[in-house]
Amino acid sequence: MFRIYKIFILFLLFLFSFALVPNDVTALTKMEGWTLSSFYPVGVKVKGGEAVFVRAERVGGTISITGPGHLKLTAKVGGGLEAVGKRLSFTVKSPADAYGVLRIRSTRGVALKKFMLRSSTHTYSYDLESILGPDDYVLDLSLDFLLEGQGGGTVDIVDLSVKEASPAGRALETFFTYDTLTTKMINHIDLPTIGRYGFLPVAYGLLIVFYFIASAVFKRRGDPGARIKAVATAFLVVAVFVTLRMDLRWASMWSQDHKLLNANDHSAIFLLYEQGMGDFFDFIDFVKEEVPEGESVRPASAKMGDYIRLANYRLLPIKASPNARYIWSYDDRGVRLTRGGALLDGGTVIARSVELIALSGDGALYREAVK
Amino acid sequence: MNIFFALIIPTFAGFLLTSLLLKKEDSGIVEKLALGYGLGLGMLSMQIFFMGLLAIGFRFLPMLAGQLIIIALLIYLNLRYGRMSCVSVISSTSFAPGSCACSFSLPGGSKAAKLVAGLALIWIILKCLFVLYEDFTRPLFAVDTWSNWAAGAKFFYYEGSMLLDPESEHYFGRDYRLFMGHPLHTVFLQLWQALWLGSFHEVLVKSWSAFYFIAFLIVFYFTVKRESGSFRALLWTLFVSTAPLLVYHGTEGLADLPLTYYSFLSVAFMWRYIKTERGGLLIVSGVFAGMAVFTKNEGLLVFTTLLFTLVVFTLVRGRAKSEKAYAFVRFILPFVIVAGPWLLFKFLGDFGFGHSGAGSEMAWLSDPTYAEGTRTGLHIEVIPIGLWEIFVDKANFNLTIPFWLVLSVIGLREWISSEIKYLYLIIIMIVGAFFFIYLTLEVTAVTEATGIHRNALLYLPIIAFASAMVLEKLLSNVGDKSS
Repeated sequence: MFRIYKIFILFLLFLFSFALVPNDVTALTKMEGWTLSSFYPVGVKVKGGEAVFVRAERVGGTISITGPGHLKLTAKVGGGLEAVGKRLSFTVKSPADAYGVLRIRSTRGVALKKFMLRSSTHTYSYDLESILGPDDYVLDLSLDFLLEGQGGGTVDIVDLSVKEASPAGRALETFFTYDTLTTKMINHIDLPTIGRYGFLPVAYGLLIVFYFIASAVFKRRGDPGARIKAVATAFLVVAVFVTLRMDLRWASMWSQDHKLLNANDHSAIFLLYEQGMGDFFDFIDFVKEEVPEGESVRPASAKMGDYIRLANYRLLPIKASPNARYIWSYDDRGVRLTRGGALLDGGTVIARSVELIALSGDGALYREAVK
Repeated sequence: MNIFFALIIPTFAGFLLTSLLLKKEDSGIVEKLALGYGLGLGMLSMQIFFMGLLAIGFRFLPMLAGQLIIIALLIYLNLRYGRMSCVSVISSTSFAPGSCACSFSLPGGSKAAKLVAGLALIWIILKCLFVLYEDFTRPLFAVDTWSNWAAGAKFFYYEGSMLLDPESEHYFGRDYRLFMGHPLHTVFLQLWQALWLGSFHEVLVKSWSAFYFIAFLIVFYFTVKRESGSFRALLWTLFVSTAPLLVYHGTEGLADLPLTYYSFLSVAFMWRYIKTERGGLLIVSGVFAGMAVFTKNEGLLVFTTLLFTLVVFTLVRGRAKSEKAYAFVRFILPFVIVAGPWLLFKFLGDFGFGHSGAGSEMAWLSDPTYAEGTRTGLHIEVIPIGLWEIFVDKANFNLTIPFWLVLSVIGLREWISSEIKYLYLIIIMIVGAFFFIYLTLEVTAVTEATGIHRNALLYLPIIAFASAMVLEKLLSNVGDKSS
């Protein structure tokens, strides 16, 4: 009976911490606190067509934007908003691929967070403190949406708000926030945080607590080797706790991947997790179709970094060669074609005479005319 | 279906080799299959390597023929020298103690212990299912996976050879193999899968990865079981399986997990030799050390560490000179047979060990991936950063390392006065070697929190095993028999 009583109190405390979670903050909590501005078609490459301005309309709590083009939503914060404990969240319904950038101007500068919108409904949530740091103040927030492709699409943004969590709620929230999968994850997988504190020191604290509890129990039972058994028990209990949290992370990944992955669409995972890859995979497929058998390719600029290695790998059996007639560039603003047909990388001549085969998204494929 | 044949055939070959090498040991069929998986894939990649050296085209039929010849040879050797009967290769081993699935019962004495064991087993199985699911649906994802391993495999697949013509601009996969000195095991495994599939499938070329995870857990379980009984072995296996980085590597096609598997087994068999002094175990240890070298350059750390441990062990035991020499031959010769051709090829081709692309130069005291103009010399700063990374800040190995440290202090007398000290020697040398590399060569592995965590996968199971041994000693000292 005594045990049930204790469990009940713990359960109430648990509920209480949840009840304190969402506290609205200033005018930013409502959609009306945000202003729509700067509709302009920038950075949108429309193959053979005209650039179309973004249309935007606000219906109730939903903002609908139709592209292709660029939309900016801005909220100014008079006097600054302390970053500690604040969370920006919004839900986006997107029928097509689009890109977004969260731009936060604070007392220390500007922070950017890029995100990719896939053709689905997804809720985005950002802890402002973890982006800016604990002692920073938000001056204004803006959300940029860039709708690409020929048709663009309509994106609905709902429940755009900034909320403040209680310390207890925030601790729980951060503990159950899973890190984003990136291609660098093979090096290291993040432990959760508890509020602003790392998890390991907390786990060490729990170890000490459980050691004393287990030690008392074993001593009372008169077990030989109470100290050893208490150490092992404490580690076992905390290890199970750590495992539960980390395995929830895998379960979350499993449920997400279950919807996402299928054997015929390998680019989906890159597009979801590796933000900023854009339409690189479509471009590679395009190059594969355009380059005749027996020909090789080369990148226009060495500055494209990982794109080059990834292209070399994905373009096989088309090989890379420094003497190739076919030249590709992707997302490289330094590469340009002169009126005389020369291809330049900054001031360096890559090829004296090339013809542009086609543009595809952020990529371009050229063929050297004279070799 | 092809993909399973691609794995079953080399596993069967490995199983036959295991049966031959361990004919005097008590290993059951499950353990032999888990050992055979790694050994078989190792033999397969060596076969492909020799085919490449002999300019035999990387085509499906010659490769399959090679595997069938190996299997036929191993069946003959088993019948001639092993313990197998002509009736069946498998039936002779399937009823070895603890080997048959049909005789399985949950470990643990009391009902509560059986319940805990059942939950642990379910948990491990769920984790394996997750790894299998992700491995069989997720395409090659990590930059290191495709740039270090898959690109080379895809190039060899389309080229149909290792392209060992020095005049070729893509000699030995240049431009596709980022680091020419990287070993070829995982490259060849992907090539083998692609040949079975008839295309370089972005997902299935790495299907071997999840089975390395499962095979590793099985061999870890049996290694601990020999010392601590099945109940504790199951809990330790669950404990090790919870290291998130290990789980994640099961879903990717990197070389680190196979390296963990081979390194752990090399150490485990050395440990069994130290305990029993049965020379055959040294041969197996040498084979696995050789495979570790054929998987990643870090395998050399394992081999040199084990060699040094063997030197210390033979000196402490004070055996006759001929006995000592025989022990060294038993360890070194299999290693040389497995890793020697690759090391010789690497030396002759000047492919190097470092991250400098090609050539054997090592930028001692200067990390080549560090920013230009950074000071050279011993980078002492990596020691506090590294310790902070491993113990306080980011390490995510489910308390394995702190647990080991606590047990090492509590059980200091126990491990120093027993054979466990050799495990400690191995751990200290391997961790020390890594820190030496961080201090002199790979500074960014620590400062950018990259290699330091991944490298820990090599010594993590050894640490867990040493912890299990110390705990066993401590508990047996207080008369606990609940294994």
